[in-house]
Amino acid sequence: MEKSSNYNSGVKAMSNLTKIFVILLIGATLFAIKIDYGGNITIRLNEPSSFSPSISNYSGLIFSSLIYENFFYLNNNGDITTHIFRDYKYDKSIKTLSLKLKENLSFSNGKPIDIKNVKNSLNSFLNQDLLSSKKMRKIIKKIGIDKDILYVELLYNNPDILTLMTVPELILLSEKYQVFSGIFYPEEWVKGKYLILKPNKFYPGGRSYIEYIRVSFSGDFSPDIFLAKPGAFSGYNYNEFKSGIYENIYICFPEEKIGQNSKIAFYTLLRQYYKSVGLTELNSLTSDEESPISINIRKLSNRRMRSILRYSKIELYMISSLKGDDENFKEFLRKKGLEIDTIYVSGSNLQNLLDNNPIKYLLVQKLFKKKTLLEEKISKIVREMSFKRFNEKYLKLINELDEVKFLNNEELLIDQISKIVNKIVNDGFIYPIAQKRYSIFINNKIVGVEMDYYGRPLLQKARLSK
Amino acid sequence: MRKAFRGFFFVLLLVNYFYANGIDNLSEKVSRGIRDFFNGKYNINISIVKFDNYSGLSNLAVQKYYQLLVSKLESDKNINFIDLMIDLNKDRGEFNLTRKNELNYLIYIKLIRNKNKVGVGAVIFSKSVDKIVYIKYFENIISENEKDLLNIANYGFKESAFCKLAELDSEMNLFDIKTIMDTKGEYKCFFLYPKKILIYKLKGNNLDKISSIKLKWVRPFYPTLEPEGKLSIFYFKKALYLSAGNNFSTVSKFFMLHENRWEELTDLDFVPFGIVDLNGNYYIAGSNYEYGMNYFNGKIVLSPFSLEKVDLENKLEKRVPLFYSIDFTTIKDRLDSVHIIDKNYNYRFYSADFIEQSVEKEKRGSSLCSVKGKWLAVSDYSKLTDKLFFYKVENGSKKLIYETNIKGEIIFISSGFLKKNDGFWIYIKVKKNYGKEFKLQFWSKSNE
Repeated sequence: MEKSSNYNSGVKAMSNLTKIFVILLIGATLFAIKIDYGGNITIRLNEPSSFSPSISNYSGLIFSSLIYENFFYLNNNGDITTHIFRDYKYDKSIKTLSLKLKENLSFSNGKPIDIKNVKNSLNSFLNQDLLSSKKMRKIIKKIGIDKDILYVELLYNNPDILTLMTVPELILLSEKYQVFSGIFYPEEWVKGKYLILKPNKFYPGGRSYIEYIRVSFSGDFSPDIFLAKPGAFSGYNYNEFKSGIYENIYICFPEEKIGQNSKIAFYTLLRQYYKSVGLTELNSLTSDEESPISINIRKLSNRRMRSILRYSKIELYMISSLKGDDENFKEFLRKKGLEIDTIYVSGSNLQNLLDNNPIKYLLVQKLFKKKTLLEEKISKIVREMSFKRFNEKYLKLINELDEVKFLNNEELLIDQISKIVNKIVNDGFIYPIAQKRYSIFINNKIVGVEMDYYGRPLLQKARLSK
Repeated sequence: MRKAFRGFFFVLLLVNYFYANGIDNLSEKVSRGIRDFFNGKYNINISIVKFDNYSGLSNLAVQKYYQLLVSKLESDKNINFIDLMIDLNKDRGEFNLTRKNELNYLIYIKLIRNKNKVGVGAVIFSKSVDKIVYIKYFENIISENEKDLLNIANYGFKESAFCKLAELDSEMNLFDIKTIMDTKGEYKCFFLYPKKILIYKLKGNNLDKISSIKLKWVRPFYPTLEPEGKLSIFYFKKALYLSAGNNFSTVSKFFMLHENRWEELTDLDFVPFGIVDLNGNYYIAGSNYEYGMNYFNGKIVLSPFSLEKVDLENKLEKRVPLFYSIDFTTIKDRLDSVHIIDKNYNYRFYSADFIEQSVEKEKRGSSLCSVKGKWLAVSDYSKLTDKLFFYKVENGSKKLIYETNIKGEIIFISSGFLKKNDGFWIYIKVKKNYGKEFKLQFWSKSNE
């Protein structure tokens, strides 16, 4: 139902293309009093490990949206917009989506954006180990270019292709390092403190009104935009926006030969840690409210846990988006009298690392849109977190899930989801640990911020009110 | 209902006539006294250079008195009255005295109160004999009702009344308009859009589209949320030139009319506003936007110009604050004054040698334009209901003479010609329940 409405809106957006284009190009906000360019905004986020796009957590999702431009945006009403293409249409008769690039676009360094950049960016996305990439890969037959148009030919008719292209991971990339397509580009990075982002004067959607953005990682600056627990700042000078997302933390055991006691000891330890920092315990694979199956794993006593973990040489690999917690976690381990090596890996290096190293313990973080269908979330977990444990049984279960989706039978669907969850729990390679829920708080002196479907505050038209 | 309205309007006019009689009589007495003094003298330049108000009349009322006095002095053919007033601020006139050396006689005017009357002391100083040659005192009753009227009637006397002569529906992305009489004596209107210039012929009061020019912009290209642009069109040595610049391209397009075709010349690296004569040399005057933003970078560019050739290597630059709008008042191409709305919405007035003469403390809107070296129109510092302020700017002076409410938001003001009148095109955005619409209005003095 939700998809259908998105698609209809998408088609509507296409039919109103001219109008949208005009609005984007012209802005139409000229007054006797003009819109003022200037001022700065401080956003509190986790410190990124690099400028590579990383959206494994909410903070990374927002940060990436500041410096990389998406092919398309999907707003909360289901409307699709773009700053890169001046025309886009899906031709049913030839099962082809054509995307026509706007004229005279440039990256942040002034170098031209051409249609090859668009093609390479799409291929880069398709090669990623993401559920959204896999879904698109499955339906694309051929990608071609002609002058300033990119053609995406499909294997079978799927007008939903445009909605698939609104995913936050599909971004415009330059082949050169430190060159950006987004509304801002990084200018100064004081590690551990802040990052200054300046407006990209070549930004395809039109230069920002804001003079600079300070992305703050410490408490040195009072933030204008930040993430916090829902309701935490109600009654202050902030507007609260429901992010519509949650972030789950799982411990994964990619290798088969790990004792059950070690797994449970690790599980106990991590549960205790995340509870101590105020996160909600997670007793299901997605969220406790929607999951048909609860996962109850016994916990060990402190003494037993310590005795198991103390005498092993343990290396805990953690996804780099969790690095912001490093000091707290080490302090927690010190108090527990445990020595565990923590090694952080970026999402882009993870697969390569897993292919070449026997990694026993891996702590990952996954971001979910609340509105996303349960079967989509389960597929994402299986596809993105089963690693070496993915086998033909999982493939069969996932394929069956895809088939059941089209039967329009809720009971059968939930039953199939339950089977998959049950298998994952029995195989014991993913244990859910904790869940983070957020609202976004935005200082009410800032106007023009739009929240998109994926819970990102889009700052393209943000400015300070007078 | 309509009849009743007409009746009411007529009564209002009568009230206006009777109430305005006191101030009119006083100005008539003073002007007659001054004109009598100059009777029999010819080819002399005179000007009011000092104007003080101790009468208790409001600033607004005294401005009206000054206007009336000046209009009567200007109408005398024996004397050449030069109006140098820039502003009337806190009961004291501010004057552009750069032309003082051209004057033969200087006039001092002082308004005082005498019981229920307003008195005027007029003093004439002769430069040739270096002494005061005339002193005279005049007075007249100004009733309380008239004082009230003077405070609210918004300069509504006939001599200075501007009015809306036409209103058209328009498209949303119009950047600028210019009007010019071509070599055949026909009026042409040029409408600038982001990617084209549409050219219309003025036929009676109608605009007939006759041609268009496509504008091809290339990198470096700065996409903007606030696109803007400026047209300029001028004759030089009998050839007609046209330019179009904006805030998303680093260059402006420059054309010359040759055998009825617009030939593209070399791009210009600034946004031209027009041609000016400075000390006998011709320059194309302009500036540069801060790329991608809605204001100019605070440098006035003067690029030497000779037949078809713009000398971009030897440009002169004059520093001013960052600004939203600029216009150059010229008299027969000779630069007379420069008008700016800066980025803080203050109106700034510069003499022909780019020396700042005054800065208005009261904020104005972002749009401004001058016409024929004589009139200046400025929008209001307002978002919901806009206003138009008309100034008289002849001879390096500047005085507010008329203001009127505008329904909508003024996006730009441009000079033009319609219904046999020079005047101002006003491009307006009007909010409607279902969205917004764009209007083009033409304002002029009905008696011009």
